[in-house]
Amino acid sequence: MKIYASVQRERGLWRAAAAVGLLVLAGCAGQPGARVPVEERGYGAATFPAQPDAVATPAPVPAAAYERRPQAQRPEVAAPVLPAVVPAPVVSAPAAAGRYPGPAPVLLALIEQADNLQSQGDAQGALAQLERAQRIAPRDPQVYLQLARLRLHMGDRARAEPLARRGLSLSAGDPDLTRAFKALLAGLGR
Amino acid sequence: MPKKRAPSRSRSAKSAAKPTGRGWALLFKVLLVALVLLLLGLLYMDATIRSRFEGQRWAIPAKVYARPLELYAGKALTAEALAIELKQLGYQQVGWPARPGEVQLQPGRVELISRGFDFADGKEPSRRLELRFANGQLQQLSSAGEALAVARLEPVLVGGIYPADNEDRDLVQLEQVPPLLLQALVATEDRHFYQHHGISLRGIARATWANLRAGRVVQGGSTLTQQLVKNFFLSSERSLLRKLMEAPMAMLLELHYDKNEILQAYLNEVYLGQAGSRAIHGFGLASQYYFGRPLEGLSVEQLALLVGLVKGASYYDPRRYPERAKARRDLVLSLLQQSGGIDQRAAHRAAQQPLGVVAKSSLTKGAFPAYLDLVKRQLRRDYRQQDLASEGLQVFTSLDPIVQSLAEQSLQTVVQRLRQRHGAAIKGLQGALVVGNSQTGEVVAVIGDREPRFQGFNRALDAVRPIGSLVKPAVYLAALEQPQRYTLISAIKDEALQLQNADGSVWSPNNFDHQVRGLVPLHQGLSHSYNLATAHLGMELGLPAVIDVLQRLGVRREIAPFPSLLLGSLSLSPLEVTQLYQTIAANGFETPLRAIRSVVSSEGQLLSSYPFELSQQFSPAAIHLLQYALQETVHEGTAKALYRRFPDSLNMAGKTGTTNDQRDSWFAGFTGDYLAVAWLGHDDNRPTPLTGSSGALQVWAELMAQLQPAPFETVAPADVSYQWVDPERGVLTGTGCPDARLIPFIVGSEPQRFSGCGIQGSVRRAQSWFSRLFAD
Repeated sequence: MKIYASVQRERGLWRAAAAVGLLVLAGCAGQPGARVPVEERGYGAATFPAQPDAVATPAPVPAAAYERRPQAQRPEVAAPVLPAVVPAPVVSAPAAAGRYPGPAPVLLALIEQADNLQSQGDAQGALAQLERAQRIAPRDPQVYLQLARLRLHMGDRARAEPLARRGLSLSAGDPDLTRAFKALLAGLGR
Repeated sequence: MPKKRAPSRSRSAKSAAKPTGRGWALLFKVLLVALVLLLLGLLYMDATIRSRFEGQRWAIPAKVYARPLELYAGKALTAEALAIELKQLGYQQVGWPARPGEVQLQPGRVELISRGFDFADGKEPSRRLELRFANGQLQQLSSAGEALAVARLEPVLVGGIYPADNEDRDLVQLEQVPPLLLQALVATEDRHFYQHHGISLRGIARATWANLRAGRVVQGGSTLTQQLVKNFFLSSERSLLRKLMEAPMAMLLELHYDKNEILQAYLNEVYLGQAGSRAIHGFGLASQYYFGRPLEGLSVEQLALLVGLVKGASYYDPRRYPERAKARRDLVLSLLQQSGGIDQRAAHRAAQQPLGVVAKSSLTKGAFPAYLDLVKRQLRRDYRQQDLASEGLQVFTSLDPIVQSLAEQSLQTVVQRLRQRHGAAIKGLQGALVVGNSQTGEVVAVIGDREPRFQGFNRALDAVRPIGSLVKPAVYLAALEQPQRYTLISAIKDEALQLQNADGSVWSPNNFDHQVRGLVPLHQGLSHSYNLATAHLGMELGLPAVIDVLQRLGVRREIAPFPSLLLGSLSLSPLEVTQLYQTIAANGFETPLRAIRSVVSSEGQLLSSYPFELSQQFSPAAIHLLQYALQETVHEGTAKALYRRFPDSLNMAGKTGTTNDQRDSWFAGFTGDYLAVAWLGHDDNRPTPLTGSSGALQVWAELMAQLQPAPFETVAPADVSYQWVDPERGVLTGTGCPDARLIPFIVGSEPQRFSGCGIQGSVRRAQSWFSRLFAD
């Protein structure tokens, strides 16, 4: 009875020595057991291609109403047909700024989960849930408010500020949200 | 080395072996030395075994996962799109889902049992999910009759980063392994495993007898322990030395470790199949490879099939030799029955079952090479190749397998259509496509070749080509950032001009249609992509202002300050162009493009996360005006082919790009949720018959038609006001005047002069898309 291996492998005894070396290597990325701080890879590291630090340009941010709710109805897109008829040109006007109707149930569930994790001292866990929410609704101002507040809570003012500015730019037409973002930015000294 | 010295000593011992007193003494000495050497050898073997066994035993390749599909009421998702995802996850269609990984697909309704997954941010349980679809949306999500706010499917495994020997495995713990598998393994391979001390004399005797009777080798006498030693510590060549070392090493192994530890190592080491160059090791991965589900979920005949493969994974390959595999499986079943693992009825029933092996997933063959290439390049900045290939890291990416599949189809469909129209002129035409989320900066799909499976030159990342008119938004943005000087209706000269090249020669650009228009409103210069107007505007602004805008939009390459830059001599890859348009789509907030969300260790510990980052680079007001002009491009400019195909309410924005002699055909555009950049051209830079509009735009349109995107709804920032104006005379008009347009201005830059509807100047177009705004 044999264990067949079609891939040619050289497994001499000399590899035993290498195994000791592997042990050392194992400590480099795995670090089993030890609670290591999670490394947040920022601009230079995470982006592609190599990018020097972006130059932030402080600019006045006017308010704009939130743009799209995740449950917004999508227009039906016609099946690909080669153009034959030229329809009359009509374009929708920019929506009037309105009050923010509150986060969708899915966002509420994730924000609550994040709150729970944060109160248990798990800021990274909270961040993960809020980023889930942000992926689901990248234009929801409430999610940005939570993200900015969490960053502030984590002592990361540099990340809190642009989040607050983006949130502010999405909350025109809602005085409560606008006030909340302005207070946050004022607290950041901006 | 002790093994080398030992024979030479024994040779000298032979020559000295004479029955004299001195001879005996010498013999004794030599034997003593041999004994010491033997002991040393044993000690060496012992050290080898212990370090290998207790150290890191296996190089576990990094696993790369797609984004998990988030399910929640209100999500834009059709049952058909979900079916694509489930197919890639290896779900089996059944009438009534009873086990994890089974699904019932009906029109408008899907019921499944998810497998559950340990995410970096928590465990997603395996559970029954009921989904109802209507109007292109997931309308209802519930589990066991109760509404569920959100659930995640397990992520699709899209690839791995393999070590040089291409061994791949999923580690299993003994406790996870179904007891029937262990029983079948022991009954088939080594009946006395729990009694012997590494070698089994009974086993050897039995094998010898069987081989003698058969006249050839039909049975081996190796115990499981010996098999493990052979694979674990020794080279695969057959040699006497190896055979001699196998037995003592097996005994040493048994001395140090208990049966369970040895069995667990065996379960993970054994070779069970071959997927291309990738060797499938261990029962954990074999279960996924043959049945698309974890070991815990296998039935008895499936377990028996895997045990049967131990004897020869290629000879009994169930996909290639199903009959052999079935005979072998049924033999294992009967051995299992003889050992009391199952009763006769169960054995009989199991033997009636088909093999149940799933088709080889297309994903095992490097399904998304261009995307994985991007992931690997990003990983290599933060991790060493050897760690990636050995530490069992889990890499979570933002790849969307549904979008990726649709993007591949779109590119292939359009290239084929173009081939029918243009024939030999586009022989060998190549293409690339990058799709991202227009708001979060996550890259969701990448294609680097017109054959998306081809693993070679990745054009999405490495085809650095002149971007042509795709550069123009930067010129106009530089102008719109100066509201006191420029508005969307500023008159721009559209006249012949001479520009100096890098080499000092003089160059006179032309409009695409070779017309000269004298003066054009600024917004039209962009939407109709007039070269002369853009060059005039850019020279007025100065090249440094344009270069500054390009850098803030996200261009990190060095930009040569020559006038030809204004018309697109700048060369970028499709991915870099995506970054540039990302900033425009996200209202002036630059978010570095990301393909990786997080990296988790084999123990499930988060090692690095790549969080959402953004920095504000432009005022939303200036970007709002630019977006207006880019929407106009789609409505009445160079990209109006799109407008004929999609509903107005989508409000798409985009820009075509064509380079000299039509060597490159580009389109970059965005909707509410997706941003995509398409490129078509020849690798050898030959001219094509394609413009941006007749080439790349078609790919983009095909993709968006498949994706059913969300509309791009802009909202005017507080410092932007919309005014009815006569764009050609630059005056305010009454609301809804025949030739007036509603145009956004940064507050304070509106025209001051007012002129009613009555005064009509030069001949104008009868209709403009914006004048119809409030028509009904």
